Amino acid sequence: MISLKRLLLVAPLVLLLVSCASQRNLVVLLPDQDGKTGIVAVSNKGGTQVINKTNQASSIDSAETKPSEPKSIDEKNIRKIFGRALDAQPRKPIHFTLYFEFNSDNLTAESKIVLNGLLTEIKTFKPAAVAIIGHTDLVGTSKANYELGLERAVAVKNILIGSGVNPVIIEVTSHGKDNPLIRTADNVAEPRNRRVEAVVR
Amino acid sequence: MKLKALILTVLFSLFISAAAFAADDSVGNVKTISGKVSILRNNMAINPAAGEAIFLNDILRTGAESSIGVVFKDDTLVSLGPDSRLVISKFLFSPAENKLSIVVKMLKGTLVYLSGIIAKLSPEAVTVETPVASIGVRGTKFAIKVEGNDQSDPVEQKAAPSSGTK
Repeated sequence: MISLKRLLLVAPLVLLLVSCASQRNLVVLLPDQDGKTGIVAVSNKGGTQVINKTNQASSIDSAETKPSEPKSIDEKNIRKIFGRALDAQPRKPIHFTLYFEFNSDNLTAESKIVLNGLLTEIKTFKPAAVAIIGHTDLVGTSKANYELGLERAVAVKNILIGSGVNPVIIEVTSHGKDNPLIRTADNVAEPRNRRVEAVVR
Repeated sequence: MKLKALILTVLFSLFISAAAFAADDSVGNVKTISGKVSILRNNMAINPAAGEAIFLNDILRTGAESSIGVVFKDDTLVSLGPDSRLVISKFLFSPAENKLSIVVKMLKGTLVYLSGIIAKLSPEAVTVETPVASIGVRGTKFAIKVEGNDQSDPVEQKAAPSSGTK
């Protein structure tokens, strides 16, 4: 009788310990779409382990023990553990850059062709969301350039809407002169900075 | 009839402005969904559709045989396999003001992470936290598995009465 009571008291504690102990982690470095491999650093109170080779994995047993030396893990095992998450990876967002004439929201001739590519992408990428960011060169004040950047972004937005794109999926912002593609001194005219970036994601 | 049309118009414009507002603070969107998936937001469970906006402090949850894929505004791609929990802890993406940071907490399950623009511009600003480690990301694709533990699940914790350890 006493032992049963004791068992009942101890059982939840044991369960708690078991579930705490099962917090094992595994970190695997994968090749990205371009075939490049980056670096991840796995750290905790026990120390840091750097993984810099494709399909190498470090396991972590607890917050106090140092992550293990990276070891190779074969693709079959990666697939077995991460298959569903790998299959759920969305498509990589696609970036377009459209250029404008000086102090204007008129697209350059070349950019009208890029615009067609953008439209095609929006129609095939489902569900698509489009972020449009207007930029200017460094001629003029911050305020005037913010407004010009916004005008350019809105001009692109209007063209998209005119071509049947749902306005709800379009987001428009301006970085004005703050985020130039080409770093120049203030008040320098630079055609490559007069642009709109459109991201389809 | 006229009144009905008016009401519909008002409701529709409210919906549009809500959607426009949502687009401004959101940190990304749901892109792929398979099986049983929910988002815990302000203690309310939402069943997302593809395209659904995600926000700071959202907890993404998947059930058995389920998965979800999201894209952040900096092009970071994150997907979760079955029985997973992920908290969106921090997201700052204003390159013009040099405000860049992304922190997510993986509580359990499997995750595949492909870093985006924040990792390119400011690698030290990207962290994936797990109950036993923190993973710093220098521009890459990787996968994490966190073995389950209900103690680390804030949802299930909330369901059980707290013993008050404060």
